[in-house]
Amino acid sequence: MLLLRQLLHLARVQLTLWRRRPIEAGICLGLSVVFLVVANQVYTIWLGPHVRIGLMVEREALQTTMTIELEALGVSVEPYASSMQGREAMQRGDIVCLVAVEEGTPTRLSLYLAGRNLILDQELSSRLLQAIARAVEAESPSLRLEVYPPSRTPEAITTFMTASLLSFLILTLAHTNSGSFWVRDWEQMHLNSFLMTPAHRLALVVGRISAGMVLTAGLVGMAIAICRWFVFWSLPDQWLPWVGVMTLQIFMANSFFFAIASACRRYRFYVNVSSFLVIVLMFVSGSVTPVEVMAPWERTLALFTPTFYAVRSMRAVMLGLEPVRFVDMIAMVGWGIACCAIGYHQLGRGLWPATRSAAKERTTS
Amino acid sequence: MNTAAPSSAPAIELRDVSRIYGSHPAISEVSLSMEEARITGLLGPNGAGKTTLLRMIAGLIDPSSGTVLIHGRRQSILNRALRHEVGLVSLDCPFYDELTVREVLTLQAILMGLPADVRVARLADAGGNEAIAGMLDRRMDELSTGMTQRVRIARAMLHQPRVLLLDEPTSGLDPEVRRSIWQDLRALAKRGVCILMTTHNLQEAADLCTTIHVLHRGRLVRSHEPNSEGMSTAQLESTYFSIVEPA
Repeated sequence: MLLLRQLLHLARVQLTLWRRRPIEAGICLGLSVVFLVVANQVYTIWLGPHVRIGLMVEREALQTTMTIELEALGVSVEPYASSMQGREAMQRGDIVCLVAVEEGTPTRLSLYLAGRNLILDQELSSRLLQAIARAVEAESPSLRLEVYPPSRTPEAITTFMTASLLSFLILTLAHTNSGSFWVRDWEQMHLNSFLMTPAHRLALVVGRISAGMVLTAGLVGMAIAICRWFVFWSLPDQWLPWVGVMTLQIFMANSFFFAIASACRRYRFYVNVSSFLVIVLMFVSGSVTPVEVMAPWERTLALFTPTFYAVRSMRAVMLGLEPVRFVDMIAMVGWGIACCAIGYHQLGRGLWPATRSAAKERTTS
Repeated sequence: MNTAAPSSAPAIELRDVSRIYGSHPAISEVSLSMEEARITGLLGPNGAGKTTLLRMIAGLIDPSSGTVLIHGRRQSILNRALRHEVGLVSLDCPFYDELTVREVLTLQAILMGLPADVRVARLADAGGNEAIAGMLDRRMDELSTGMTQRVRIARAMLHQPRVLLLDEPTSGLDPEVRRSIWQDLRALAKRGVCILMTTHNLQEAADLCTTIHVLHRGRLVRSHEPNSEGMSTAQLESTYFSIVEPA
């Protein structure tokens, strides 16, 4: 009972401290919204009228069909009399790619990509394949070209992107709000005031991680609500699993940075380590490069990172294309508990920022 | 005062205590004991090991060798039970500036495990101290250095420990506040509290302390009882400088 009272009070104090820094709180919320909105726009390749695609089709009827199909993607279509002209225009940067259908035996359908930006080329080839397939199908009823899934709506793409962005927003908020509180308390020796009391360390760890979770959840919730005024993405049909996955991620992220802060104990050291870790975790989580196309050693590395499970479960629950895997939930809980245990152990290592020699000396004595 | 049964053991006892940082001995084989209801001063130049000694007695760090006993029980980082016996006033135990005095004291009371009714009574008692009464709802970052120091002492005494450790309690304070803190410390000693304080102020040590220990380069080099020896501040000064600045 005493332990519960202590941990609840510690959580309350933590939230009070945060509430009394309204400027920091406002900046944190503002940046979270900006992150979700801007990253969503920049992260996704939007094919709009500003994207010009060259089209060279000798047969008039096919040209009309293909123009309709390509414009349905939202892009502008620029007709060219010959593929040579189109390729020159592409080299000049007037168009991003060229679709050419040259009559002959056999009739050749070519897709010329500029090759300047590989990500753009990949996206264009994937999107144009569907448009071309529909046009060819309309032209030759005996031919059927199908690509699955048949189409991706802009909402689906945004939802897919948001799933990874939310995971990283949670990670970043836990880094700045929870981890930095811990490391400040180590560096400024606030923890000494706690450790001079007979209160159990468990109250400190559970109380403050709970406060960090409430804080992170509140910020993420507010950021999502505000972000949806600017960017539309579908909310999951099933709220409960979504909230469950987010809660596990928030717990895991807060514990993760608690462990890092307690191991570093110095603000500069913590910032160096944690900032770098966030970047690495982002790249190996599968949110930038799909895990399916990673090299075997990268895939193995991804399996040992917490964000891999976070991104995968968030995508599953938000897109609804596959069920949330039980192993992802277990992995997130496992990471959270392991990190809490590391941080808890650090609290017992002594109160003053211990030098390596002091720690060694303690061990030998 | 703490309700633990009084024991015949000294309030604080150090037996051959050493503390080494890397290859640097901060404290070397210090042995001494302190009784209840006395104010003991710890003198020494910067780096002599005063704060390290205080931290070991508080249980914030463990000695590399030797034993620290509080009322006959061994002190260590992990001995949470002994936290009830000791109060520490030190810059090493800072406050959150964003909290009010009331919140600081409430947090301390809850962490010390005081029951709700006792907590309310102790807070009212802390408020009974005129200096603190008027500032219970003020934030810590709005307080002067003197006021902050009073809150530190109030926080350390909230659970009514039998041993109070103070690390340079009057450093940077004006004479009026300093005198008032001396009065508070004398009153606490009269109530049976064993007080151990570090100081650089020789006059303070001579006027306030019943016993003075001089530390130099981690070793206990001299002990005095200024009142019983009839030692003036000038004599103490002369003795002190003969130790720390040998000819």
